[in-house]
Amino acid sequence: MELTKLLQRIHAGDRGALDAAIPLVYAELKKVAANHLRKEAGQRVETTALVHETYVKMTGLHHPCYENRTHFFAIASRLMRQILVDHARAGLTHKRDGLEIEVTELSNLASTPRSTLLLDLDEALDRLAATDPRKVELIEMRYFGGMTAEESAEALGITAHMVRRDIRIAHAWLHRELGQGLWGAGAGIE
Amino acid sequence: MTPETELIFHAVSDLTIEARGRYFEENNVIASVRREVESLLQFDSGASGFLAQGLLDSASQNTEQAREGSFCGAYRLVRVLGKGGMGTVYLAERADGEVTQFAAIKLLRYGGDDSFRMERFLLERQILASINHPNIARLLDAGHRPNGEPYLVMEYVEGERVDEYASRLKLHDKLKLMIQICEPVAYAHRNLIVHRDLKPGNIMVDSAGRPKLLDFGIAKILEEATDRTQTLHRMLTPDYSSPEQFTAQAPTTANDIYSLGAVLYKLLTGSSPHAFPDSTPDQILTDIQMREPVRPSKLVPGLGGDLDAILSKALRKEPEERYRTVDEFAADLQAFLEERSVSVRRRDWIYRAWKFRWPILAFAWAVATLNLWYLVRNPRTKLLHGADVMSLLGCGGYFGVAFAYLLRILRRGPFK
Repeated sequence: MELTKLLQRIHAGDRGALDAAIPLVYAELKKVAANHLRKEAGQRVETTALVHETYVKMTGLHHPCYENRTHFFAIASRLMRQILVDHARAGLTHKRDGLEIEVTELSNLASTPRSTLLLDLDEALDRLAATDPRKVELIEMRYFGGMTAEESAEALGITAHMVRRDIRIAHAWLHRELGQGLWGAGAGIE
Repeated sequence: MTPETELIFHAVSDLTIEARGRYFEENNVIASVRREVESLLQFDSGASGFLAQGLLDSASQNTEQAREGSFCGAYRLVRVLGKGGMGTVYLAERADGEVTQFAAIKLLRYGGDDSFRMERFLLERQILASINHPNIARLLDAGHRPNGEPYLVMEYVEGERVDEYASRLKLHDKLKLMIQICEPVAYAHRNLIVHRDLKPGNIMVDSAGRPKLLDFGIAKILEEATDRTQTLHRMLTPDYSSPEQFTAQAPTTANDIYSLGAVLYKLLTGSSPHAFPDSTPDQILTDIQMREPVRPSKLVPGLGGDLDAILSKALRKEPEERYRTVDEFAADLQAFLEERSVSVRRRDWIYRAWKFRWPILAFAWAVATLNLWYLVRNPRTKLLHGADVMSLLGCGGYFGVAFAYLLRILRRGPFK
């Protein structure tokens, strides 16, 4: 249960603990994703499910400590984005393997090949991060980690109301960035 | 995005277009900011949801997302476990620091102004409060949120859907499981409650292998007047609902017996009796009302005729032809397990003869007419000569039907 201790230290404000936890979580998250890749070719897996599974694997069900969970999810969300993007890149250069990992609620963009979309999204997020790193973190937490508004608020030390506002405008912004090419202007309003 | 853009975006995003215009003018918003905000608003999909979806869907998603993390009494909603026609069920954890406990919390799906759903929901809470059975997910608590929304807290059954669980079992164990599933249903019936939505998704098997019944969302108390049954149609799951449930007849225990049959059919064959890949609603209705399901033994060769007969009895189109009680159904399954003779087998052929009375009569009539025509054409032929085989067939048809009719009268009294 090394991770549980690290998470407790992160909660206490220890930056070193965060640096120590990231590679651990990354390795396990990758393992879980790869496992799904092998076993469930052709099936759809949601990122949220991968993050949850990793969490349960690493901490065990018997540590439902709320703060730990929040910190874990915050770390895992960012890493999940990285893994997905790597996977999409590999998928575009090599042959696509069967697994489709879905970013929560991005599933409706089925008309565009997912890998391309993901890479576009990744780039758009990088552009947004240049001016608004917090919004990017929120988008990651919400869509790659499946965190609720309250959980992300907790992780960032802001109110849930602010989270919802930030996510809403970030949506619109990303939508516009990606939207023109993908859905045509205004497709989001129906 | 400048801070100013953001501020104005949030100020006007929930306003109507006219009100937005007024806001821009009254606050002297500079043109470039106004353009930026308007351009962003074009891509705004409301308080949540990345994408265009049906209005209703995104509306409900809004509430669902907004609810996550909020509280119901001592519980904090964690995530959505499932959505039904009536409500959304959340995984919740106890957050008052007393003990670590998970629960399933059900809330109405849409906002609170749907009085019909509200009524049903309150009834469900009442029903759950009045029953107590180890195979029915327990009601832990009920209450109202500060905004007036009612909720109910149920035992969280950590387990597997019955069909997934059963897919690993041998035939005998599947039947034993089914008998266990019958118990809570029979219990509910004894308490005058019809579940009406029995399906694999509402039957979970916990880690100890115990089946648990969930979701009494459209359950009905038998004595209650059956008013707005029509409205319920949208909430039914076609694969497991009985034919008469689609025709707004009063609910009876026979509904559940059919659904139990459909669930058993699924457990044994791996598909529901009427597998509907892409049928239209009308087609589904016709199928359920008219089409006999494929005999299970045809799908799974080793099953044997007794199980065919049991399932066919449970899945009869006519409610009064089904098993009269869940216990009878379970008793036949038990008899099958113990290799005793099942009650239905002996009578199944009578039912079949009656079921096909019209084709049989038509055939007999045709044979008799042919006979007559033959006699008229050849007046000198002796009666018991060339045509005697035909006449015997004709008579046999008549008498067969008459006999089946007689047996039915002996069994259940004359037809209505």
